[in-house]
Amino acid sequence: MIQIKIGGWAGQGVVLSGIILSTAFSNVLEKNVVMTRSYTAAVRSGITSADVIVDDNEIYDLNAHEPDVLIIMYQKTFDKYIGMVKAAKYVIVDSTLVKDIPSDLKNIYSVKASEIAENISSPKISNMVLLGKYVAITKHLTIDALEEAVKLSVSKKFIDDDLKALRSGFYS
Amino acid sequence: MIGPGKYFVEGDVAAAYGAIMAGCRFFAGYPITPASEITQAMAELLPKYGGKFLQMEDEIASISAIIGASWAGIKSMTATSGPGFSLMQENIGYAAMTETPIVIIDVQRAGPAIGQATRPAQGDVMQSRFGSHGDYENIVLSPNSVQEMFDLAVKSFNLAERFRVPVILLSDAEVGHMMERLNVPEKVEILERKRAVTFEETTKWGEDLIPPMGRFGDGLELIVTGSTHKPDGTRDTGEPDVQDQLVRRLINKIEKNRNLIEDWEEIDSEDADYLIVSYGASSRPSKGAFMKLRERGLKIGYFRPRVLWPAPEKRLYELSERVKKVFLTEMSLRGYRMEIEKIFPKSVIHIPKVNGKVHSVKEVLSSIEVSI
Repeated sequence: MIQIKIGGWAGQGVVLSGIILSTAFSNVLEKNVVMTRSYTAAVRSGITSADVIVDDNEIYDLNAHEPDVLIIMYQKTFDKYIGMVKAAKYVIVDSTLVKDIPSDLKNIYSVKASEIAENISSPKISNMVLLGKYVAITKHLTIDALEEAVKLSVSKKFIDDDLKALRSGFYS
Repeated sequence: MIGPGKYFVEGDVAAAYGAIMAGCRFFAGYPITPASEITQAMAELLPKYGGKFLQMEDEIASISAIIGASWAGIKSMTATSGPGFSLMQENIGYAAMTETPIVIIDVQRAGPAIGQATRPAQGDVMQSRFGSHGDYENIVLSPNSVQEMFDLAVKSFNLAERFRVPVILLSDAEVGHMMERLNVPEKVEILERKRAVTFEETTKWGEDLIPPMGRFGDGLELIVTGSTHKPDGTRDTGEPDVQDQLVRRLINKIEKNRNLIEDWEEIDSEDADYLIVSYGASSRPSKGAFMKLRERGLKIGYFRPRVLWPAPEKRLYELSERVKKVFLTEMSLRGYRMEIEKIFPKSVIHIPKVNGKVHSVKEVLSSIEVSI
């Protein structure tokens, strides 16, 4: 079983990242996958998260209670999840926005995701940079599988920039 | 169009696919989190299938519209959540009284009142059966996966058509918003209502107590009223026997056919001293806990009603003769508790969770471990 938690702030594309990741595991790798989300209603702000659970067997836990991987896009989310951060195997962070990281943590993999994304087109696609980095670090998926999932999940006009961001993260 | 094959979709979308495959061709609704995706999917799909989608001014209008559409001979549905479901209660009784097949999806969220719109809960279990006034019976189903959102949506229509009752697909925000694999089959089994060709046929029923249904526009001079009525549909608001016979039949057409309706998943209960009962999203971690306890050699069974109402009483009473303790896991302080405590009066350990989160396997396990 693999548990992945993506955490950020509303509007950063957290849930879309979850959809892309879980689509890659389900459609491309034929694994059992559950993707659940958590966000607040009405007010467009607040901590948002997407949980992806991958297993060869039936899935019982619907949320990532002890994530193996955390992808963190925002400082407040990092602080909230600090307990999980310490226990996770891999923590991928957008170091443009998450700057306050305890120096003793050895499981942190930083990428200036928002900065790289802005250089491509917009910081809005920082989530793609992080997904690329996630694949490079964990090797849970191939970059090809993730690219295929992006093509299945986003509207056509964004595909080119999204794929560029994905590869930038992968090769960063 | 929805072709056969594998999909990776939300539970809400799967329910819309199921409804379309079951033959639903009319949807009237008012969007509400966490059921809006059903409304959205129906708005996109129905025109492609020659159906009609109407966004209404509110939930009272929504359920009224689908009752009317059903009398026009069209399989009809609406979808909502807590606050909207409360508004629909009067007309759920109207649909029961007029024996109108309709399907209502309630994707439960944390309440009461507005509560937490995006968070799952299971607090509408009693409301789904008793929410409207007066004596009536309806049918309530509880899916625990994206696949079951599809399968039980199909089943909801079949039950509504067969028994001429409002059927409620009682989901929750976790299952509705969760993404999982969905297998859409080539064909699904579809039941159609018994259609009356003559007016005379609408006034009589056989052993199943369900009269064939007429259709507006066929010239049958139908009378449809929420007032007490005689078998020919004419109002009678004074005669005791008319009220008595009508209400008894509305109850008995479900009560006497419950073996055709009850549905549950049951594992390892034959030798069980303990039993986990759960449904909907909370049944997933409950099953995980059950598997772990069985591995350790504990004589524990797992019981999950797929149809909550009518409850699988006969089977649960049989199990009550052997089972020493029942663990009821749900996202409500009330939920299904009265029903399970009725059958197991002194042996229920309630494991509720009401913070808008689904239990983890670990939480269910530790709650059980401290009680055995």
